[in-house]
Amino acid sequence: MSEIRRMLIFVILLMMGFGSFLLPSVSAHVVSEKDWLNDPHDHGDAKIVYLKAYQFGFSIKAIQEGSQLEVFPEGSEPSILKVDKGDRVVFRIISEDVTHGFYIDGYSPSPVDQKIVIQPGKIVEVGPITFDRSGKFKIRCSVTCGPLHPFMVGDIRVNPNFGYYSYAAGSLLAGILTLAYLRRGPVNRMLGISLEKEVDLLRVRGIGPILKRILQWRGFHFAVIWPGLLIFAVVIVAGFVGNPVGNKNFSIAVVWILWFALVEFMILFAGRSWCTVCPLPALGEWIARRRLYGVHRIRKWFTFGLKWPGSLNNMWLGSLLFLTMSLIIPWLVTRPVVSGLLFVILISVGTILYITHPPRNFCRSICPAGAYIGHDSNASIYSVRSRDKGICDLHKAKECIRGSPEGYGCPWRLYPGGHDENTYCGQCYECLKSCPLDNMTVKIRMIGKDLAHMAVKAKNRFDEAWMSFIRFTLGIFYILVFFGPYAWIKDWGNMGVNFGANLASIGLLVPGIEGVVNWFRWAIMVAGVSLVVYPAIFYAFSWISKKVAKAEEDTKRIFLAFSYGLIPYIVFIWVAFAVAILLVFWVYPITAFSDPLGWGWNLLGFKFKWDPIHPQSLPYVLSSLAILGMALSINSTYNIAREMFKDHSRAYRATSVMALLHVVSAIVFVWVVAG
Amino acid sequence: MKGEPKNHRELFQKINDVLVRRYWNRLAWFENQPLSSDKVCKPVHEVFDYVLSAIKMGLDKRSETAYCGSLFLYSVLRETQRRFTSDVNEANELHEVGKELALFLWNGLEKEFSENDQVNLTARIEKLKSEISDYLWNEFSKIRFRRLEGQNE
Repeated sequence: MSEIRRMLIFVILLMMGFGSFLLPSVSAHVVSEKDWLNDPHDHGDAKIVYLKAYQFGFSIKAIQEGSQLEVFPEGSEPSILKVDKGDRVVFRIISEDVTHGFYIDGYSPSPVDQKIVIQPGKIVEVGPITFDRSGKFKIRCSVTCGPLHPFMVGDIRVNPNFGYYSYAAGSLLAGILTLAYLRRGPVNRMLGISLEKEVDLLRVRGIGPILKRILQWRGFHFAVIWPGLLIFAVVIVAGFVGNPVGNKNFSIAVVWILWFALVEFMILFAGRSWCTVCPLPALGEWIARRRLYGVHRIRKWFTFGLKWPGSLNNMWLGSLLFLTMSLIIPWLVTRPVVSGLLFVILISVGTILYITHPPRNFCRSICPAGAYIGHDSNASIYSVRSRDKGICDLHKAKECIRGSPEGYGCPWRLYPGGHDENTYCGQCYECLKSCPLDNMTVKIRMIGKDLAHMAVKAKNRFDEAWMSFIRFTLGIFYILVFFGPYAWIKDWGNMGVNFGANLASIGLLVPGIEGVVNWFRWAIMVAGVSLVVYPAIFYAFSWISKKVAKAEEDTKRIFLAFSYGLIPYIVFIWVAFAVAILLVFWVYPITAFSDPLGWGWNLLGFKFKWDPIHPQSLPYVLSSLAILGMALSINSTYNIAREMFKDHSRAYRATSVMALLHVVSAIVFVWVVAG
Repeated sequence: MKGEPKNHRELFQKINDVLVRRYWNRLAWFENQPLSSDKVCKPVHEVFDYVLSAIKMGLDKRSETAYCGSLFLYSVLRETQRRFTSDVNEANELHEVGKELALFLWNGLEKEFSENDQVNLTARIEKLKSEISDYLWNEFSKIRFRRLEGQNE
């Protein structure tokens, strides 16, 4: 009878939500500070890990195993705790500077239910935790502790790390399988799907006509831009007067978490759709046209009409600005005032340039986001194209260039009827409005459709090649910096002092000398890898490809052409980064809408708290995305080679060499996220 | 320009031919609604108004006359309750005629404007406008009359 009663109590407790005791045992209690290292505790067979939390990392100071105490006087760097599957571990944690939190992906209970807080001067004991699943798990700070708080992480590697070995082997296997598929010599196909197949979205029954009406409606552009402009205004105000702690400030949470992540998904599924809604050049455009959305009947433009220099008519400036922004990214994405300032500069430059050098030369050649979005969107499934190029050729008036009473000519200075790449198409849909033949449409196609012919005709497009290298290397760098256990990289990029508490630098723009020196090291490292080291490796592989394929083309041409093959890889690596950001930090942008300035408001009555969504699966989700990108990239390289050499055998041999580089890159990526 | 009309009569004839084929044929001939000269000559009038404004504002002749071609085309499309045409020849013909008309007007009017003779400019444009309107209305009336006669038979 008593057994039955106990069972009933168990079930009732479970239904009432008291089932959390089924989670790995995690408890926290406060003991005195002197007990920390000097008074080792006895927790039976459990390892005791003495962990120091600081801005912005976790450092292992000592590990006690039975009566043996291994001390790391300077703390462990990188912050990786290696345990074996089945080990029981007790964490004795101390904070060096400010109040921190403690959370382990997949092992801690939800921080909403039980938040472990580590206050300075007190020791918190957590555990014992039994690490019964192998893999890589992040230790995260769960209490906002300063600008780089979201990226305050350490690693726990539970050996044997089968996940990592499987995914590393999976990268190799995926490379081999892709090559085995390509051996059959598929023409114009991507992983089995024909690149010829396209869907004319505006003729899809049901949604097509509605979409067409919306896109051809003159007010459409204005309707999607003004909410963005409003958000940008809040971003600027929040940047200057809001809470200096990044994740509590609208300018950081919405721009560098929500926007940054969503743009990567937009690139894949909607091409340059961000450029459709981007408010940066909007003011200039409205002033120049003297209209918010209508077509100005008498086409007197309010501009100086200066000609854009031909030497700037490429992606160099945008690429280098993107790299420059990336060099200050740990600073930019954590200091609201820096973000606010950046947007004031971008809006001012965008507006002034539209008036002095119309139309969208700022978007084409300067905007760092426009540069990478345009470049990557060549691997998008979305494109704005003509239905029938023959009709465009026959049509003499070319309203898509010159404009018509219904729409302006392409402000991106393209011939929309003939273009076949997304690089400089800003998806403003003016061509859809101005074409009297209804020959412009939106097409959905397979990833990488345009890459082969783009690559083959790309002579001397070094700007686009280097954009590929910058984006590819930075994709991996960002994951390493923001989600890696290497505190020194964060400190270098953050202009902080290595291993130091950066309390004094919160919200400040002027770092110390040591911080500047560290930043220069970081800048040389990041710029060196993306501008020199990886391109050099890529060139070497291109040269070997040429030799192996016995190709007549010169190495430069092969090198430039194959750089386009990287684009699907880049897109998927950045989508992986976006997934990591969204699953872990989803709460920050949502709460920022309710409290834009980070002043403790709750305008929308939200009750969300930081609680990552299944973070323990991130290493595998991210690895899978990178491997998919790699396979697409190998296939794209083959398509490019096939178009260039006009011969399967040569193309296959050249692709095999490049595939080796792509597989190695995938293994490096898998090591970064899961190893 | 290849095929450019040598004089204004030739141009009027060309406009007339294109309007018959591409515009008037689509108007509701046999409906009871009255068709005014303004409705019949709407595309031409729009080009007149635009050219006058563009000259006064000192806009570029080449790009604005090309734009007038589109203006002419879109005017026909609008008046025939269409947003697009699927016929590329129709688009080309209407554009070409509109552009030639604009060029003819521009060449005729820019002399007055350069001499800053606003009164003369307005008077000239009104004269030209009524001249071409009368011509087109007469042509239209003849065609309409023939069609109505054919219908009654």
